Amino acid sequence: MYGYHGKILHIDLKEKKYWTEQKPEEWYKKYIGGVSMATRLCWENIKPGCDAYAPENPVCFANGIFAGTPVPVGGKYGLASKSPMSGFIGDSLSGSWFSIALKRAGWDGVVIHNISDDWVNVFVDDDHVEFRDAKSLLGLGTFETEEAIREQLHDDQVRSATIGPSGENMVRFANVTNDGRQAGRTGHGSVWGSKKLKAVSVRGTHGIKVADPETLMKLSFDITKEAQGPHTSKYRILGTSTNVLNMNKLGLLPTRNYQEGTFEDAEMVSGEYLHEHHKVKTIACAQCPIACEQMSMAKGEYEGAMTGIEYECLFANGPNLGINDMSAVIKLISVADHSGMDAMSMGITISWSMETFERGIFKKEDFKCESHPDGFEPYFGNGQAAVYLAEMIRDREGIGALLSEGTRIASQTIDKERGTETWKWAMQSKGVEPAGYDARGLKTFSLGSAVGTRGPCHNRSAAYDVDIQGVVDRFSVDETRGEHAKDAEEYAAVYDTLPLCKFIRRCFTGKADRAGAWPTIVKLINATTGWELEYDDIDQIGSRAVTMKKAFNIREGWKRTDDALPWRWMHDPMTKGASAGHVTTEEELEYMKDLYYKAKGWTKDGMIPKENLIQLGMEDVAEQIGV
Amino acid sequence: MDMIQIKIEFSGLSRILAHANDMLVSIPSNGTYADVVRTIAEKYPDLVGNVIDNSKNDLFPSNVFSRDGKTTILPDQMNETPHDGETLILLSLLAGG
Repeated sequence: MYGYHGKILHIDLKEKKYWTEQKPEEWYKKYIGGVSMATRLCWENIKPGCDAYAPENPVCFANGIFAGTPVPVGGKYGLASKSPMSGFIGDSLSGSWFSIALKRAGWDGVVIHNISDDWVNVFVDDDHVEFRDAKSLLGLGTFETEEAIREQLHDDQVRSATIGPSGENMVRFANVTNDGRQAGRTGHGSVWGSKKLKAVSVRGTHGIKVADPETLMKLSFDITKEAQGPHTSKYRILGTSTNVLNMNKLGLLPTRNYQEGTFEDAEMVSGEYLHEHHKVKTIACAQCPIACEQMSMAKGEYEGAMTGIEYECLFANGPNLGINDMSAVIKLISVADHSGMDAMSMGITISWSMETFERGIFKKEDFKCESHPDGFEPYFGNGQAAVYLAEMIRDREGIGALLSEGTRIASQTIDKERGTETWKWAMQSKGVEPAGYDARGLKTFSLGSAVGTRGPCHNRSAAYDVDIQGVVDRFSVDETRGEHAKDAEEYAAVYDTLPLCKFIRRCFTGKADRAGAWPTIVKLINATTGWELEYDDIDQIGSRAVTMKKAFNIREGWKRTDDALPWRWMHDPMTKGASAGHVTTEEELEYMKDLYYKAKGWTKDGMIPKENLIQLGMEDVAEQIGV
Repeated sequence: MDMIQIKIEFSGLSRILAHANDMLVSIPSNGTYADVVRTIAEKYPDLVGNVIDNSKNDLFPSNVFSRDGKTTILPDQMNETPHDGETLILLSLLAGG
C-alpha cells in the first residue's frame, strides 16, 4: 500500500500492553485520515453511551495522508474522543512535526484505551511502545513537557503531544498540544487527564512510500510556489488576527460576552496593532511554506509572556472581555497555551462570569483566592482580574473550579444554587463556546453553527463565507440556506480529512471553490496512493466524514433539539454597529434546519436513512443507527 | 465633469501595504467601482499583486468592498456606479484562526 502503512497501533494504559490492527486498503479509501478516520476509530472502539472520562472512551489519533510527504501543509493529524464538553464527537486537528514523526514510526493511527494507574508518558519508538513514568513531568507546561521528554530520552528528534496543568487538573476545555500547535475546542486535554496520560511521544525512523514520487514532487513544487504569492500574503504578513477590524466594521466582533458586535477600542487589540507593537517573528508548522503564526510578546506588567496570536483567541480574550490592553490579552492567551487549555472557551467562560458579576449575581467575595483573600472585582475591561481568573481556572482554585467546567455547566450550577437565569448569557451550544463571528448578523452561519457535530465552529463550517461575501443577504433567511450550510460543511470536511490546512485553498488555481481545488487534490491523492479517484470521489470524502460524525452523535443520543444556538443569538439583538437589531429567531432556525436536513437527505428529525449510509459504503453504521 | 467622492477605509493587508487608514477617491459621476479600484491602485501601487488584481480593474479573490459594513459589492457589480459620499470598507477576508 502506498501512502499508508496499513496498520493501527492499539495501546492499553491499564494493562500496559499494545498490539497491531491491520486495516484493508478499502477502509483507507473510505476514511482517508484526519477527522474522518479518527471518528471512525472512535466509532469502532468506544463503548456507546459511556462517560467521556470512562476507561471505555478511547483517544484516537489518525494521521494525514500527506504527512511526511512533500505536499505542502499536509503535515497534520486528527484527534478524536467522545467530548466531555458536548457528550458527542470531539474531533480536532493539529499539525507539524508530531504527525510526521508518527507517520515515520509506521503508524496510520493510534488508539489508546483504558486508564493508567499512574501518570504515564507513552513513548512510541517505531514498532515498540514504552510506558514511561511521567511523575517528574507533572506541573510542567505543554512546551516545557516536550523539552523535558527530549532531554530524558537524549534525542532532540522525539516529538510529543502533551497536556499541561489544565489537562492534569481536568479543566473540561483543556487541549492537547504538540510543537506549539493545539488540538483544541473539544476537551481532549481533560480526557487525557482522566487517563493519567501526560504525553504521547514518538520517534519515527521509517520512510514513507508514495506511488508516483515524480508527479507528487512536481505538484508540490507548483503549490509551494503559489503559496509564497498573493493568495497567502494576508496570512504571512498579518495572520488571522487581522479579522478583529474586519469583524468590527461588519458589526460582528463579539464584545463583552457577545452583548455587542462592535468594540470602541478595537484598534488597540487589532492585528494591525499587534503587527506594529508586539510581533516578534512569524513561524510555520513543519511542512508549511506559508508561515502564518504571529509570535507576539507582551510588554510592561506582563513582559515575558509570549505566544502565537490568532483571531479566535484574540477576540475571546480582548473585545469579548472589554479589554483594550494588548499585553494583557497576550498574557491571557499565553496562560491558556502554556497550561494547555482552549483560549476561546477560557475567554468566553471568563466573559460569562464578568457579565454575571456586573449583573450583581456574583459578588466580590465569590472571587476569593489565595492572593486576594477578600476577593476581587472582575468587571469588563479589568485585564488583571481576567488574568487571575485564567490562572484560577488552570489551577481549579476557588471559583476557577466552577469556571473550569465551561459556560454550560457553570451556568446550570449557579442557576440551580441561586435561582437565577445566567444560562441566558452562557454562550454555548452543545456545551461548546462559539466562534468569533456573531451569528446574529450571519444567518447562514447561524445554521452552520447550530448543526455543527462538534458544536458551533468556524473551522468545521465556513457558512459565514456566503453571508460576508454577499452571495446571500446575511440579515435574512431564504430557501437556499440548507444547501449553503451543507456545502460549506462538506467542503471543510475534505480539508479536515486529508488533512490539508485550509489556508492553501486558493493556491491550486486561485479559486477556493470545488472546481478550483478538487482537480489538484485528486492528483495529489492518486500520486500518493496509486489510487484512481475522480472528482466526485472528493465530494464523497467530505460527505462521508460529516455523516460519520453525525452517526457517532446519533448513537450517543443526539436529537433535533440539540442543534441549537445560544439563547442570546436568538433573543437579544445588538444595539450598535452594522449588524444591530438582528437575531435568528426560533422560527427561522427551525425552518433552516428543515432545509439543511433535507439537503443532506436526512429525515425531518435529522436521522440518517439506511440507504444514505449504504450509498456511502457504511453498511455497518446503517445497521446500527440507520432508519 | 461632475465628480463624486467615495471614502475608502483600509483594513488588514491593505492598511499595512498602503500605510494609510483611509483615502478619498474622486471619480466621474458616471464612473464605476472598477474606476475606484484603478484610482486606489494608482495611489498605492503596493496593493497591486496583493489586494488588487494585476489588471488594476478588480480586487483579488477574497478581497471585497463592503458598503457601510452592511452589503458586499459582488464581482459582477464592479461596473455599477457608486453613490456620492458612499463609504467602502476594503476587507481582506480570512478563514480560521
